[in-house]
Amino acid sequence: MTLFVLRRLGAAAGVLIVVSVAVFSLLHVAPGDPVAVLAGPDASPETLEAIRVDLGLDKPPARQYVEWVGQLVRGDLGMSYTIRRPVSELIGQRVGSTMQLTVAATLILLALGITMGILLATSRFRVVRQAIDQLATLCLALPPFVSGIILIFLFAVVWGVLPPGGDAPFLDQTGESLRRLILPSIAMALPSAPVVARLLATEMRRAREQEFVLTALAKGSSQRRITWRHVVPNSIGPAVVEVGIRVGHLLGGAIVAEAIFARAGLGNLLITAVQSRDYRLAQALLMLAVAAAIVAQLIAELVIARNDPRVRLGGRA
Amino acid sequence: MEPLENTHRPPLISRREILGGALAAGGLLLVGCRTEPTVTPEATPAPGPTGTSPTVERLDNLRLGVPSDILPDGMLRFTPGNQALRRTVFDLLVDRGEDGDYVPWLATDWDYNDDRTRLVIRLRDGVTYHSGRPFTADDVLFVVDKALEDGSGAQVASLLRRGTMSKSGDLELTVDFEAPFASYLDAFIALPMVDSETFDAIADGQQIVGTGPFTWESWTPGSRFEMAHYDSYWGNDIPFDRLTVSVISEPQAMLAAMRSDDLDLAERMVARDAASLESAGFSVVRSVGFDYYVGVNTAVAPLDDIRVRQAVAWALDRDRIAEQVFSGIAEPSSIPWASNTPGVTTAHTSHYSYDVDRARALIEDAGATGAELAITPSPQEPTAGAVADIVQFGLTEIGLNPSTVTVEPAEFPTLIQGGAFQGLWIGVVGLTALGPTTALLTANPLRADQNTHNFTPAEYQSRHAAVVDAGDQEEQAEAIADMTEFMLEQAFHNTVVQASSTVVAREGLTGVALDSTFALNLTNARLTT
Repeated sequence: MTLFVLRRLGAAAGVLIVVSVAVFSLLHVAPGDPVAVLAGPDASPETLEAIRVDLGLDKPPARQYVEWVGQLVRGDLGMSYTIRRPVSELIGQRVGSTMQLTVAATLILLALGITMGILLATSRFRVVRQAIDQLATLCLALPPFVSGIILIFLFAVVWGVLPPGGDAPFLDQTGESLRRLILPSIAMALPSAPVVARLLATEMRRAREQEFVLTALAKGSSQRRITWRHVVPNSIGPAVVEVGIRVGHLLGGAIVAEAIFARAGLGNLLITAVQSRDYRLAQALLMLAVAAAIVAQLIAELVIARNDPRVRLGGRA
Repeated sequence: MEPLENTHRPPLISRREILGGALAAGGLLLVGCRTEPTVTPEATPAPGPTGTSPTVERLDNLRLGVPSDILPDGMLRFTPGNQALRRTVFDLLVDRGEDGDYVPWLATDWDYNDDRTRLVIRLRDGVTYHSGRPFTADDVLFVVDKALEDGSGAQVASLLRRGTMSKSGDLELTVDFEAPFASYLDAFIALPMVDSETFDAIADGQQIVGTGPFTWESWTPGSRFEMAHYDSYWGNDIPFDRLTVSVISEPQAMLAAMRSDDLDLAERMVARDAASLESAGFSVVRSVGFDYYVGVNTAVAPLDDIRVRQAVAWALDRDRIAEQVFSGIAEPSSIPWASNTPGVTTAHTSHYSYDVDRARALIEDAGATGAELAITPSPQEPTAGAVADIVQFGLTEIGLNPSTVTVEPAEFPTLIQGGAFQGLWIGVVGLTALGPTTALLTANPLRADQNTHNFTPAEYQSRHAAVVDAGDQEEQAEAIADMTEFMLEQAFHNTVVQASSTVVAREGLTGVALDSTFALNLTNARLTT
């Protein structure tokens, strides 16, 4: 197992090195210049040069890369060019907002997906099943930037019961913070919920044909009891796996939702960093995203390896 | 195997009760947790227009929305993001009135000598920084020195270099000029009076100290910044205890925030959104105009031919752009400066109209029919795409083959600085609000020796020098008229409208203003009921 862990860690480190080169190169090759953004369109060549030297962008790219990686290894993410604050501080300020949004969207996704799935699979009324099916299709076709605008218009502008966006400190203003979470998290959850619902409904229909369900029916159990005690627990697994995959999508979707709902999250920060070519900030955010994915993958592989010697021994068993 | 049970115990709480409770809790969450600013009546009522005395309210928190964040590191630069700070945390030395004359602010008065080679500026007494330190002539000298440093990026540095400033008293400054220069004070319309003791801490926004009506409190980059009432402000007592500024980059989100009462003020809204709010009862304050133009790279064929450039100028439907894109919050114009600029006449502002036949004849005469032409709209201007559509339609009508090129926000400044556009571009020169001299000296598209248009013939350079070197207003008016006519003839910088920055205010909020540099001025703002 130790050898397996070392092998996987080595592979992960290799991926991180390749990704760091790709992230650095792509951002530097892309048209646009952080110095030009900072100095503004009316800057003189002298001003541009002075800022370039100040930021260290006059050095050869290879040297900039080595310096950046050296800082990363020491746990220093560097300073933002435009905001002039440590990148770690900026990420720390924003991560809470994105996590709140992702957690809230996941909860809504679970509630909506499971409710719709169960209704799809169990309702005795065809009209209900058809209505849920149509609703699922509609939700599936509503990306967050469309549903977000509709939700803002209805709940904030027309009825005035919820704020149109923004965020508030969760610990100091919990109620206000939750109110500001409702619309963006619904907008993010809507397109994913039907996928979970349909998967769950399919699994439930399959489970209903299993022998233990038929046995329970033969013994006189009620439909409700069979659904909740036997069918749902035996069908929920694939749906939960799908929710796990969807959480990754939700983190990506947060970029759009944060822009529409004016939330100060990591997605918004990444947009700002890329638009202003704030290399240090954008590189750190992208590397963090990749590192998070690699860690998740590593954990999954370790869990699988622990349970399966064939994986652990690399196919030599 | 677990035996199947067939008994059913009634739950302690029924599902209906749980559902009812959940709905009630949700309702309470929706309605009960709303945080709106509270207002308290002020002691001093303001006279109403019909003889009644509406009550002036004291607001605990004025909520402002802006489309882009501040850039503290560029505090001495003329950048849109910092407009919400320049007259809230900071003060300026002078202002400019609607008639174009300078208005005292931290400078109370000023005099030129007879041959206009010396300017004496006297400063207001009793002004203090938020730290409690008095504002003096040394602070102005500090700001000027910082603006003149390499890398400051202060556009007005080119104005400041025309004179040498020295201290002639605690509250008096003297500026000596080698040759008469009439526009020196323009620099102080745009330069905030930063604090010398804390200047180094401005860059990261941790500490921003000025003399303005609000003290700096906090900044969450990209999200919001907060300020508090400065009790020792030298001017009016502003009836707002706090000013909270939210950065809302999406125009739709800004519009929704205003309509849903989540904001009291919104700065720099998209014109059509501001117009829609105006028709819904909000008040819209407009700034003085600035240049919104279609630039021409004269180094690129067929735009190196004056006939093609003039054809482009005749093919721009300025009225349609002003009406459809700006919803009337812009004035069609053919020149970069305001219509009340000395030397400017109506014949100048309305020189070019939409004349397809004339333009097509010029294109045919130049043999440029079917020529391909790239149009690059500024990604920093939310209206530029719509303007590009109208421009593209006009150019197609006259026989050219235009196409739109999209660039990223980080690329556009590089193209402006380097004059590297493929053909035409659509952009703005905000500095024209300060007048022709300042714009010609500071804006890259209009500079003499090297500019974005790659248009630097001797005739342009001599006229450029005539405007910026004019010693008095009469001489300046003559030079501006000559320069304006030359620019119209050469058609390398085709102004389409004099656009305006806006601030939209909720009902009852009056006295909000934008100064000649589009900075938000709340010193006369009042909330009345």
